[in-house]
Amino acid sequence: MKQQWPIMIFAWRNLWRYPKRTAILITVTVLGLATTLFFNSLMLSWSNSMLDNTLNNLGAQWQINAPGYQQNRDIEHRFEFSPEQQQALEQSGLYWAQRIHLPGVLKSEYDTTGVDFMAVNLRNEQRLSFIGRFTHSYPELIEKFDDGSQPYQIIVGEALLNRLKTAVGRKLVLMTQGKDGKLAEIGLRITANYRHSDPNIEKSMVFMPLASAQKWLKLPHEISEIAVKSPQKLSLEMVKNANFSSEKLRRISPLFKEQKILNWRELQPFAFASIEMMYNFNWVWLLMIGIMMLFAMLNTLYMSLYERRNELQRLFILGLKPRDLRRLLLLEHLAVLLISIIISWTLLIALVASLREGIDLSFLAEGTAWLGISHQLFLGYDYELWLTNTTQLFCGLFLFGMIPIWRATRIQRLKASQHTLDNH
Amino acid sequence: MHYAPVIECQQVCKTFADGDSVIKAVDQLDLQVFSGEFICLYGASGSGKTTLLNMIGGLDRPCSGEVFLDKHPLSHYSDDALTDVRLRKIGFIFQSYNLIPVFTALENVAFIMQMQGVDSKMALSKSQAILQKVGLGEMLNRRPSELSGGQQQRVAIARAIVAEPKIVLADEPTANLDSKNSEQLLELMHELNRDLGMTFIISSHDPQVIEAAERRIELADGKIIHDDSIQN
Repeated sequence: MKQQWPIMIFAWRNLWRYPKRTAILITVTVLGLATTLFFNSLMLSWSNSMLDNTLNNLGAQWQINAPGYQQNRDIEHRFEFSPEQQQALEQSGLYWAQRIHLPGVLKSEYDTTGVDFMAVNLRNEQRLSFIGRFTHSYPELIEKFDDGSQPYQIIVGEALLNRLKTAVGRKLVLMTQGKDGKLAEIGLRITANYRHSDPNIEKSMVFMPLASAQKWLKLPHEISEIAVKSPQKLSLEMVKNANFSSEKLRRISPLFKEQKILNWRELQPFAFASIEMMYNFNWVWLLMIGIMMLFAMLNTLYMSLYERRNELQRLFILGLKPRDLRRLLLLEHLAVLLISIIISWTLLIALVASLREGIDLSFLAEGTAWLGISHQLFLGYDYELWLTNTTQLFCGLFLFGMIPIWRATRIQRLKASQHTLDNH
Repeated sequence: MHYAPVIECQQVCKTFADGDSVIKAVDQLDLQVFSGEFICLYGASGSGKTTLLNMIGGLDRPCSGEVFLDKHPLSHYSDDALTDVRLRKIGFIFQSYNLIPVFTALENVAFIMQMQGVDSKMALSKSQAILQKVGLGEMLNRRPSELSGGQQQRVAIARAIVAEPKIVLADEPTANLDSKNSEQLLELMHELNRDLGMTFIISSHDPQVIEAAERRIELADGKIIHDDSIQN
């Protein structure tokens, strides 16, 4: 330890001997590290937003359907929801909602358009989907919707209202295929309209009471799907995980032998592929930035060590062993990296704090809707991600930095003497 | 006053290849250096002064023959052990001072002792005393860039002697100094040689240095052609 202290002082002072060079090294490392961490945080928030939207847009984490329903969402692929199944779900502790989900045609006095109509129970949807959350603050609406006191009502998106040139309070005609294969139609009064960040959802999704739809379509106990969600808040990592499952759901699954239980990954392959692509892109980005930083850093290190070759050789002549010289240079290298990490993290924390209101992507409205993310992206203090990325970059830069250091300290005695004694 | 040779070269040869030809830098050279001597190696460029100094300092190994330091053959030491020998037994003075620019005069001198494992406090107090002895007591905290050439070379001398090495090897120590500073430096080295009994081997072209040496050894074509001790 006695020898370490002067070497540490030597290394620290050497760092500031060529402030410009040290500043370049630190700037390169800070730029690389801070951009990587920021970009990866952005990607994570993007993925989270996509996941939240996908799960909230009626997808849920699991769905129970009749076999073949995912391939052909029509009235033929329905199933009877038995009281035993309902009881098991009620006792399971999971959030769930039964639905009839069919394609239909909606007609106003001015226009006709194809829609996805969903017959739901708003109370059950509250913990599952955006429509439940949206109607949460309107208890009267929920009551009338769910208890059957106003059976012939429909909730449509604001964009659809505009398209059909109609308004709340007016009537629409909904048509779909009945279970006998013939066209079934019903007149419904618009009781509410909703807003959604994705205009496509506003234009395509309409909601009517489940009991009314069952009565209209003569499907007293039959439904198209049961959406299921775990009460536990799932992280992106957990949902993305291939083994994503629920013990509670597994326990009741024997009661759904006739049906298919699909998880989120199977229900939303596009969203899953996008999230997975972003995850992989994080790695590609990390690798790209890492390689660029490595080139810049190795280049500067090689240059600086080449310039200091004579000095290192003189120190060797004075009695410093190559391992002491290596320690000296490694300490300098380590100090540059640590200073860069501190600056990068400080910058990043400040940046995230300054963006706490969210990043407004409304100028990319169509694109964000297509990708299934919201207009506002919220960055979080993703310390775990930052720590992982920092550790990866730090290890890469530190280990590769050892190459020029190792080479610079492989001093041959005679060369040392030639560079110091003869050349003067 | 001189008893045992601190350095002994026995039939030392060193050749370098230069294309197809072989250059004999040192040719079957025999030399005995006794403790406390003040020697100047001189001779024309290419006469073998620096090669000999390198071999004595353990920076180069002879092709044949042997260099003994304190009766120990240097060829028996590993590279690491030779570095240790240089740290503990040999002091170096370079033509261009080669002080560590980020250290003060005091830290430059103390650094070598600290690298030997000497306690920092002790190293600093001893370095302070040595710097006072070389006349730089008032400039302990100045960095090399704040010192004149002569003052820097004094710091280099202090650094070379602070660990009380057996021998001090100096390569053209006055080459970058004016005659007044050279004279002062030579006086200082003489004083240290007298007071501390250290052996000085100086390689130089400078007549002032040659004149001031107690023992002058002239080299030509890798051989000793004149040695005061043999002459006397």
